[in-house]
Amino acid sequence: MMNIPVFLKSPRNVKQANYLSSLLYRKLSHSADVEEKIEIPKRIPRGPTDILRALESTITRDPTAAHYKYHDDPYLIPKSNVGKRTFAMAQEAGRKAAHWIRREHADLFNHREADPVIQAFLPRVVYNEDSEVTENDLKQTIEDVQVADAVIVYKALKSKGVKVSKETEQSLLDLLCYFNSEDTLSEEFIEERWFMQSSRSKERHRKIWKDGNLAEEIFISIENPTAEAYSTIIQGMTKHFQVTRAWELYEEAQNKGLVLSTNTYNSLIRVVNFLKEQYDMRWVLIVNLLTDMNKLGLKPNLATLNAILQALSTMGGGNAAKDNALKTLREFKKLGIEPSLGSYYFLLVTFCKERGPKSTILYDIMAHIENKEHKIRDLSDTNFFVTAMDVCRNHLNDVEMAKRVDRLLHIGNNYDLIGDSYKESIYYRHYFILLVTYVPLDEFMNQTYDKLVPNIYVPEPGVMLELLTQVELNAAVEYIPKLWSDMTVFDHTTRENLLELISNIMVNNPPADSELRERFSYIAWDMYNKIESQNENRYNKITLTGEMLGKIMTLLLKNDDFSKACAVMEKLDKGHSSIVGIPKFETLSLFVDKCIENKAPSQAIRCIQYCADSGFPEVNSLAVRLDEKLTLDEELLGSLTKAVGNFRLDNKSSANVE
Amino acid sequence: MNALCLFSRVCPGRIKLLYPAPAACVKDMFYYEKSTSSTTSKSNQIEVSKAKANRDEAVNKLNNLLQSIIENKDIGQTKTKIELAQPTNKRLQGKVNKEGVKVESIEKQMVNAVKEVAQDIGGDVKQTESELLSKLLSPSDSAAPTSTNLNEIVKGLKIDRESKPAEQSRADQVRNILQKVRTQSAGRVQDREWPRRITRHKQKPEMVVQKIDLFGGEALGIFTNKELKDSVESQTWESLYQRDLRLAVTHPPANYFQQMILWTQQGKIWKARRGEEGGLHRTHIFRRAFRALVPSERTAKAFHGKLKKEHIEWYKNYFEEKRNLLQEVGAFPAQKETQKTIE
Repeated sequence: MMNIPVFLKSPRNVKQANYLSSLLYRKLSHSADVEEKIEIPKRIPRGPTDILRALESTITRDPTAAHYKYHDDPYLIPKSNVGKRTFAMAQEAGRKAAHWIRREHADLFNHREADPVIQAFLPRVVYNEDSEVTENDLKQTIEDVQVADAVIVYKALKSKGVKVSKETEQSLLDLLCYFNSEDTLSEEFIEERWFMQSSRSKERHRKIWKDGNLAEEIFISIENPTAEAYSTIIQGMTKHFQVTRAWELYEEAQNKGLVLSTNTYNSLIRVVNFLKEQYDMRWVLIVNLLTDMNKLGLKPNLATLNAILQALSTMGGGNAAKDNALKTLREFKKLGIEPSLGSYYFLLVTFCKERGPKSTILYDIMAHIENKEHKIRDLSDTNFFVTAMDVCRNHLNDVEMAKRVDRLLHIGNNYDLIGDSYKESIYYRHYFILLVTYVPLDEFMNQTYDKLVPNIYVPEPGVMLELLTQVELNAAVEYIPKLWSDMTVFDHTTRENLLELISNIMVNNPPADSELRERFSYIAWDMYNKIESQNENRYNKITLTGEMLGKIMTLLLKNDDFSKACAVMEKLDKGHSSIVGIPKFETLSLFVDKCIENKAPSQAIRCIQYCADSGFPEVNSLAVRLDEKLTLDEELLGSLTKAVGNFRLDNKSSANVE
Repeated sequence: MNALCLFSRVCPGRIKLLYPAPAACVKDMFYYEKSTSSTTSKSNQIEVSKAKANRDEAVNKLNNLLQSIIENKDIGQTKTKIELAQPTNKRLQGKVNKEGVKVESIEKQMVNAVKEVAQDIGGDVKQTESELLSKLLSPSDSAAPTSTNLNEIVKGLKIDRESKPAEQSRADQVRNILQKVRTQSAGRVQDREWPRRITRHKQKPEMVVQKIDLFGGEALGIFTNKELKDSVESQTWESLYQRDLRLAVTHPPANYFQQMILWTQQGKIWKARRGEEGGLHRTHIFRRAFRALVPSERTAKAFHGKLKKEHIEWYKNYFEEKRNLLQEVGAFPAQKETQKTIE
């Protein structure tokens, strides 16, 4: 009932048509020829979500706002990658908890508030071996993609001796083969899918087909299996990399003279690299399969094209693979099959090998796809953008091309083709590193960094390192406070290399204005406290080195934060035996100067003692300076002498010489 | 042998860059000298016959030889026509990877040629050979590497007259040469490193865009059958694939409208049956409100009797007025049913 398309009436009073409706009209009408006389159609067929879509298209993403899924509360907006994931998954866990309660207490959810009833809110039917089931239940479970339920219903039907029709059995076989007889993630859990997809690709090349599963049982139980049944089981096996068995069944079907489907041939082409070792043998096999298809009059489709290109992309960087890829593309063009973004993705993989010669094929590809909106036509389409950006960065080093790719990504709904959160991150990682290397730093910070960070993309530590390196090269210290606060938020402050780099930048580029000096001192103190307050049991704890402490102390002293510097000095002094390395002499000398300024002779003596222990030969000059500038009492003089020996004698003797 | 292997491994790049065909060069130089008769070379020939064992003499001889070539204009001119390869563009190097094979053979050729020459000259063969090699391998003394003139190159070849300890083995000599080459190239690498870091912004690798015609040109030519037909695919499989495609581009909703679209697709909210004429939509909601109202009003006492009647009347009239419209759009399933409800 709900699915009956309802047609919209055209506006009866055109004058009344307000801005919104004219907008809707523009968005939805199909006849948009300017030349023709404007005719107001009697009726415009509209789907149930068309109006929502039209409204939605008026909203553009505000990069300064957190993603819609997060609570609009400063304390609940995640800023780091881990945070984003955790918050989203927490929400998803809440959804799952709700599902669980509905399942465990199904009796509480039988009231029917809504009219017409909303099926999605009703408790799920629970099946078991003894359930009274009919073939319709089986059909329903198949339609709802509930694999486990379908298996139970099917077994219940079998045990009761109910005959299942051939069509339904084939449907079930399809379902089982498609999902390897396993339950699949419910459509509901979009967040989980968004954060999960990446991990799935890792097990891509492993045999995951469960031998002897229900799909095989059903297939065997069929007397004289049809070509359709063969097609399904072969596709299921190749999809889950049970390649040898799939090939056996293919030959079996061949011998029986059955004509398999195009998709079955596609699935076989997709796994030729498992069937044959050598590249040329693989290609021969593909050609054979295609020739068979031609003989049988099977029209290839987009999936055939992409299967061939995918196979070619695994055949090394030789010219043969490239030539064949282009020839394939042309062959399919002649057949009227337009390549999808996935086809171009495989072309990029084939042409732009890491170790091969440079190829500028992306230019040719862009000429065909630029400024267009693309719809998903093949599952591999979602690989295009991340790979194109990878090629821009690693293969071509081409900023302009990267910008073109990025522009294409933001046309229409092309962003849907980004894939998942993992691919999105990688995409931006490539984009950022390329831009930060080749675009002037100010431009990068204003136009890219400020726009995309942190709501759309949170730079990984590696990207941050690259960015800091550029800051160092440009001596653009004014960005340091901002970057430090970002690093704190992104949880990068536990990376030793980043801390080292940022402290180096601050020490080597002493700022002229006092505000920045103050900020630097604050950062240094922050850094010190962060490292000091690390969890004892942390896995890779950062240990403060003498150099690091020296840099922190310098930054503190430059801003006259004497008491804090004293704390660092104390740390150095106390941990003299455990801290690796020692600060530079300039730092310690500066500390003594500041001690003199602040009239703190005992601190100075402690520092001088430390210098002497560390074996700095210049230590006497410090002692002399202290003695000259401050009037030391006997006790202090005694400890100073204890630290460095009889420095006054040295001093006097040198004075005498003069 | 070891040393030679080492040598060929260490410096292929440099040799290729600066002196791509040194072997031919050396050979030609010396054989030409031997076969021609000029005033200077006559005396040399005599010397050649005399000098046998003395190492110093061999060195002198070599120097004279080189000298004579430089002085003899004719030889210089004819020989400059030898095709001396230009230093190749470093950037292009990556593109022409195959040359790697050639380079090795050139080196071997060169080493062999040097060996031959040294033996022809006689004297301390090892020493002559190593000195020749050293001169060929350390071109930094010579003029700009871009020069194509043989004279200029040869002028650069000043023979080192410093006598080396006689005990020095050939392996040591070659090693020394290699050392020199290595430090030179190491120096170069460092030179390169600095400016690159600084000028990173400006530096953009030059790229030759080779146009590839994606769709024009030769095709596979496999699908020649004129009567290709779309194959019949199993429907469930196909719908599952479509589901996967849909899910691949279904991302967390980014605003409330997307959320509504998603919920609509998932069947969690009613599908908007009507378009911009919001009134119709309202009617539908009214109808539901009315339905809910009737039973609850029935159970209520007659306390609000008049009010209740007015209320229900209002709804009744409203739907009566809109009856045609409602039936037209299918919101009222059937006439009979509605009547029953109102009763």
